[in-house]
Formats: sequence, structure tokens, C-alpha cells
Amino acid sequence: MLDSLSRRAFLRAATITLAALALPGHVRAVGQAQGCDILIIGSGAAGLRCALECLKLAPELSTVVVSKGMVSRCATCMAAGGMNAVLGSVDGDSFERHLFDTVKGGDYLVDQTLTHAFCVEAPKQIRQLDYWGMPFARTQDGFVKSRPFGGSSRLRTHYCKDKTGHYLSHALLDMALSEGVKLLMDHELLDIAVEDGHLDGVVLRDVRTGEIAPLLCRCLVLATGGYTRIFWNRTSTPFGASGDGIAAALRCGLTFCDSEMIQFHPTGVLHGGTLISEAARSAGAYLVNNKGERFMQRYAPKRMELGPRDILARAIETEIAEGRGFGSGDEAYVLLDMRHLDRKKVATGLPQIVHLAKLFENTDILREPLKIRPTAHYSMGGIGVARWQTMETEMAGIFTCGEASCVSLHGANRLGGNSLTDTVVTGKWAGQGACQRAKKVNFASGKKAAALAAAWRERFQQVTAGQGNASEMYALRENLGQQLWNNLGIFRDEERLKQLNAVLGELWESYGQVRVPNANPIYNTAFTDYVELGNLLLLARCAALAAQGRKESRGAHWRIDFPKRDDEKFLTHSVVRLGAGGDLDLSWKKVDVSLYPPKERKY
Amino acid sequence: MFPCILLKSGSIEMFVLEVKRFDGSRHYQSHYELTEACVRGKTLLAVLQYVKQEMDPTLNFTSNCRTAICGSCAVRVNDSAVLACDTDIEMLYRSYETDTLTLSPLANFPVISDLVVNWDDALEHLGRIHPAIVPKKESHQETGCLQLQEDLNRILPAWDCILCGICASQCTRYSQNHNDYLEPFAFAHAWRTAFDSRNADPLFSCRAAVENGLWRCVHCSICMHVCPNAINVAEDIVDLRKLILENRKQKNRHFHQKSANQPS
Repeated sequence: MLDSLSRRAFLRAATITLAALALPGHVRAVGQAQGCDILIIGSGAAGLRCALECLKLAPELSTVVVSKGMVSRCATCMAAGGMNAVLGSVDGDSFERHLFDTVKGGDYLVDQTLTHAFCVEAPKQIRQLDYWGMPFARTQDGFVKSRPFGGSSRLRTHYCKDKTGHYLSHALLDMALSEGVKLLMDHELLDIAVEDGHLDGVVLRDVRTGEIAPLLCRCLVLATGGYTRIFWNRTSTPFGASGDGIAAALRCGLTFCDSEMIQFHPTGVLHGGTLISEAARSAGAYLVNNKGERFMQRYAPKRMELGPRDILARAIETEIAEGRGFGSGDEAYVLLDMRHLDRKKVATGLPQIVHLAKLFENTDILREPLKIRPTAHYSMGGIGVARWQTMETEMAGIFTCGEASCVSLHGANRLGGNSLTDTVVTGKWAGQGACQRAKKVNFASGKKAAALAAAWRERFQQVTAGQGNASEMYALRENLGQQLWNNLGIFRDEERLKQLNAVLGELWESYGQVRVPNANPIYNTAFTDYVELGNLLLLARCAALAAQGRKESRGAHWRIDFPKRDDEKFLTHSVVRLGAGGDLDLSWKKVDVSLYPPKERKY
Repeated sequence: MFPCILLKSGSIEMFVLEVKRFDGSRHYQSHYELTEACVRGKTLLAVLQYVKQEMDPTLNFTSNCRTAICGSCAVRVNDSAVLACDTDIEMLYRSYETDTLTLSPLANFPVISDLVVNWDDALEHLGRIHPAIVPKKESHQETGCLQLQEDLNRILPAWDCILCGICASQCTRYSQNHNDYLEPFAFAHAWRTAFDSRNADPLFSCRAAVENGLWRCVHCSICMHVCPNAINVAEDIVDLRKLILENRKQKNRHFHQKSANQPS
């Protein structure tokens, strides 16, 4: 393509590369290195919402969104169900009810004051998105419509078909492109540089060229998403959900909170764990065991299939464990039955579900029941936040939002429909915080970032120069996933967790020996896999440690040996830090229960 | 009648993948041989992952969601673009009646490495269309908009676009000349914006579409046939043209009425 050279030369307006010094106001020379005012890592809904807020509040500052691939390839686009918000007082709904449902759903591990603020902000964000052009299903009068959803006591989940997340991410992308948000694609976050307790910059790898360079910033926003890929093949999230931002945050001294809290979605397809949305059960699908019973009547007689996710996931695993499932071992499952529903409605209203059933299980869900089993779905845990109003972490200048963060608003179990709302609400808060600060502070020296970049360059050399065997690396990743599913899955106990912690130590050591036999720096995806696996191992170690420490059952964290919730000892968030020697340190932080004192959680 | 004879199971001994490679400076081709067990019931993406993990870690491609919603994994098979995660590879061998498939990166994008392409220009093109709506006066940031479900339903087909780039790879017109035309998905975005009942200025994105080649579409409709979500971009382009012509007509009528009313 000879014409592409000249064409590309003048089409650089919307996208930039680190080398594009000629673009004033975006990435520019700062001392020896390059920098921008606000740097947002991650281009899902949280990252883009944050960028739009920055552009609105501080158009004079340069805001750059970094993505490790193309921007719309995020986890947001996979979300199906909807967005919770109280838009009116229909049926006596109120912010307090939304708050209470969230608190109860999260098994009282939810910080209540900030969650109230979240519930108040949520409807504003829905209307803002409507104003920006995101599609929403409508009532007869043309208002945004809602559907019932697991764990919600009122109708407040706003949606569009079973692709709400897809519409959200593309509406935000349309807005970002129209407003001129600067996108730095195919750049991977390797580390965050901190000098004397102050943010210095980040180290990015330009995946296209392989160049590893520091990038300075006044403020950094981590919107890198969750870490459920620690379960590797037993998760619904995309391959990229490797928690890069959380791992980098740990390495620069920040905290990882509630890391043991990982939501298992009750309905993943049997092979590969891809999600069958709650929208299916919202439409009236049944869960059926090998006796043909709707077994949920034993676990949540009032809500049945629309009970909260953790209770459903445990119910399915219990049915399987007690011999009322189909198949056995890795191939055990129960059935999701939609045959009694109006075929036309299912085909037009839930096209994604029909498609996925066909693709992964070769099942025509309109005519046959689908094999399903729980799958790791969402990280309630994430980077600890010191001030929720700005989403600022313990380190001044570093902010976080979306699934990467833990403010904590989802507690021990996220309510369905709260995550997409979380992305836009916390994205907005982080944008406000980053703008305020970026206007006041100056760039740091960039010395630490330069040193870290040099170390990473050396590491690339070292890891890719020799022979090595990539299959071993991928086998290690599979092994990690299986170990976690078996020992840190839906049912946990001391014995298994102890063993897991030992195994993870061994895996960590074998990771140190991994070599990638590809020295070509150009779009080296094997090296990307290598970096991501390192992050997954670190985060898995944190989660296993916190799970062992929490000797109670709460929300998604279910200990067979401690089947009761223990508010005396564990009405606390787990906080993991990475010590200088690579050791992990676990401590606990009080939960804010100022509005609703803990009660037993029943549905 | 079409001679549609599928090769019977077992009649292919070795399933071959030929992949067009690029390592940043050199173009070459790699040859991978797979057994029936490797391809049976597998998606093309699963096979690419198998090749990378077990045979050749230097092979580069992108993927993320594996459920045909993120748009990462579009590649060309025998010059025809598909989503790797949404394609049964065994069916491909059987429907092409061959034991050899040739994979190459999407056409009409700059290639970075192997099956990975550069999206910078494509997103810049999409930005030119101004894909966000222009809000109406009666809409408000704090109150949102009103919209009828049927008005929403009208634009939803184009909202299925996942920016996979398949239409851009196969487009007859765009393949001819990149400089005076856009990737078809950009026109689909212009259409969904123009026909959104919440949009105050439907012509806003039309103008950008006209400036970037709206009248150059040749109506082969290949964009619709290859789109994994069957978005009919050719039809959208016709709609946009009609909208502009209608508007022109109204303006003319208005102008003539005005001049007729003026006292001579």
C-alpha cells in the first residue's frame, strides 16, 4: 500500500503515537521524556467516561486515553443486562431502596455513605447517556424503560436488548471521537513509577514497535478493569481482563482491597464459561436439575431464578455436588430452560443469548435447554480508594475507576446491573478529581520512570533472547486457572486454600524461569501474554491470601469450614500490600455501616 | 441447482493452514498442519490459539471476547473476511472443498504484524463523521430525551456494528481508492445518527458523509453480505442520499414560494 504513507502522514488528527512530538498540547516533551496532563489507562466505559469528563471540565489540559489494543475491545461491550438507577418514584422506589438492595446484595461489606452518593448520581448518568445518544428501551410514553433484575426489589434496571454494555461502550466511543478525545492505541501499561511517595509517570510498551518508554503525567487514572482471568478458562470475561492496572498499582505501593471477592455468575455456558446473561432469567427462564425440578425453590423460594448471583451459583454447585446435576467433574452441569417462553419474543429480544447457545454448545435454545455452569464474572475487589469523592488512591495523583477500583460499592457480591452504572459514576468522579489536581500540580522529574523503563527493556531482552518453550508458559496459565477454580472457586476451605497458597508459590517460581522464544519486538503478543500472566499470578496470590484470612462466609466468599457470617471479626475489608521483598502483607479496614446496621441476608 | 458436495468426514487427512506473515520488515508465509482432532467442532480462533500455544508462539493475531461482540479477531480466510471466534473451521474446510485454507490480515488496513492491523486511520475516519448526535433543544443533560420505541427500533440495526472492519476489508469501492471514500461502517454510523429521533440536526453527519464519498458507493451490497451482524450499509447510504435530496427539495420549494410571494 504505497499510498498509505502519504495518507497516514496527514490523518494523524485523532490518534497519536509516543513519537508524535509534533502534536502540541497532547503528548509533548517534558524535560528528557514525554508527557501529558491527564493519562487514563483503559478504554472501556470507565476510561472513556472519565476522559469525557476531563475534556468537559478542563479542555485546556491534554487528556490521553491509553488502550492495550483497539479501543472498543473492552469488557464493557460484553455486559448484557442493564444499568441500575432510580429514575422515578414508580412503585415507591427511592435512592434508599437502591442503596439497601446494594448493601444487602453485597452482604453488608458495602461502604454505605458513598454508595448512597452513587445511587443519587446514577440517574443523572443514565440521563446524560440518553442525552449523548445511547440507545435505551422505551416505555409507551417514550421514557427510558426498566426490567426486573436479580437482587433488586424494584424495577430499576435500564437496558436495551441484551447488549446494554455494547451500546454503552459504543455510545461513549462515538462521543469520544466526536469530542476529539486523544487515543493512544496498542500501548500496554508495564509499571507505574513513584518517587518519594509521589507519582512520577508510567512505563508503556508500544506494542506496535516494541519500544518501551516512560510517559510522564500530572495525574494518572487507572481504568484497566478486573482480574477474573485468574480463573483462565472458567470465566466470562475477555482474554484481556488480566488486571494489569491493579498489579502495577500493587508494585508501586498501592493497596489491593477485597481481592478475595470474586463474583461467580450462575449461568456460564459449560464449555469456556461464556456468559448467558441474567436477561434470560429476567425473561422467565427456568433452572432445572436432573430430576426436572426448578431447584431454586429450595434456596430462594420467593425470588426463585431471580435471586442474587452468589446464592444462585452456590445452589447450582450444591445440586451438582449432591448428585442432582448432569455429567461429572469438569463436565458437570444443570439446564437453563427457555422452551416455555414465547419463541418470537426470545428470538428478537435476546438475540445474543440465542447466538451464544448455538456457537458454544450447538444448542437451539428456543427448542432445547442449555447446559450451564457458574463462571467467574466480576471482580468486586480492586485498587483501594482513599477518597471516593475523587476516586483518588492513597497516592496523590493516582486515581482509579470502574472494575479496577474497589471503593467499596459492591461489597462481597455485586448486584446485577450495578457494574455499568459503576463505570460511568466512578468514571465521572475520577475525571473530576483528576482535573482538579492536574490544574494545580506540576510534572515530576521522570527519573524513576526512566529507570523503570530501562529495567523493562532489559527484561524484554532477557525473556526473549534465549530458546525457551512457549507451550510451558501457556500450560502454566492453564494450570493457574484450574488450581484457582478447584481451590478458590465457589466453595472454599482452609485445607484447600493452604494448599493453593503453596502451589501459587511454586507457580510464581516457575514463572521466573519462563522464556518466550520470540525476540522480534514488533507486536510481540507472546510477550504480552507473558506480562499478563505475571500480573495474573500476583493477583491470584493476593486473592488466595485474603481468602485464607477471611474465616467466615460472606457474599461471594463461601467457606465450608466457616459457613456463617461473622460481623464481630470480619465486618472489614481485606487490604493486601506488596512488600519490598515481594512478600504480601494482609491487613483489615473497617466497613462504613452508618446507615443500615447489618442484618441476616435472606431472599 | 448448485453443486454443493461437502467432503465427507474423514476424507481430509491433514488440515493445512497457510498464514500470510509480516514481521515488521519481511513478508513470508507459514504452513501449519493440523489433525482432524484439532479442528473438529473448533472455531477458527480456537485453532489460531492452538497454533500459537503449541506450534508457533511468534504468530500474532488479536482476540478478546470470543463471543462476536468486541470485533477484535476479524481475519481473511481465502481472501474473504470473517470473525475468527464466530466461524466453525471444519465447516470452512468442507465448504471450500479443500484441505488448505489461506489466512491473511484484513485488507485496506495498514498491517502491523501477521494478522494484526492498525486502526488509527479508521478511527480518525469515523471521527470525521461526527458519530454522536446533536441534542435537541427540548432534551437536557439532566432530564435526558424522549424517544418512541419504534423510532429506536429503526436505528438499532446499525447499532449492532462492532467495528470489526470486515466491511472495510471487502468493500469494492474502498478497495479501489482509500483517499476519496470511507470504511463502510463510518456510513452506518452516520446513518444511525442522522435517523436518531433524538438528533436535532440530521444533516450534520450527512454533510461529513457527503464530503467523504457518500455518492461514490457502487451498491454492490457486499458490506451487508459479509457483515457478521448483517448491517445493510448500502441501504443506509441510499437512505442518507434520500434524506439529503428531500432536504434540498424542501429548501428549493421554500425558496420558490418565497420568491412567488414577493411583489414583482
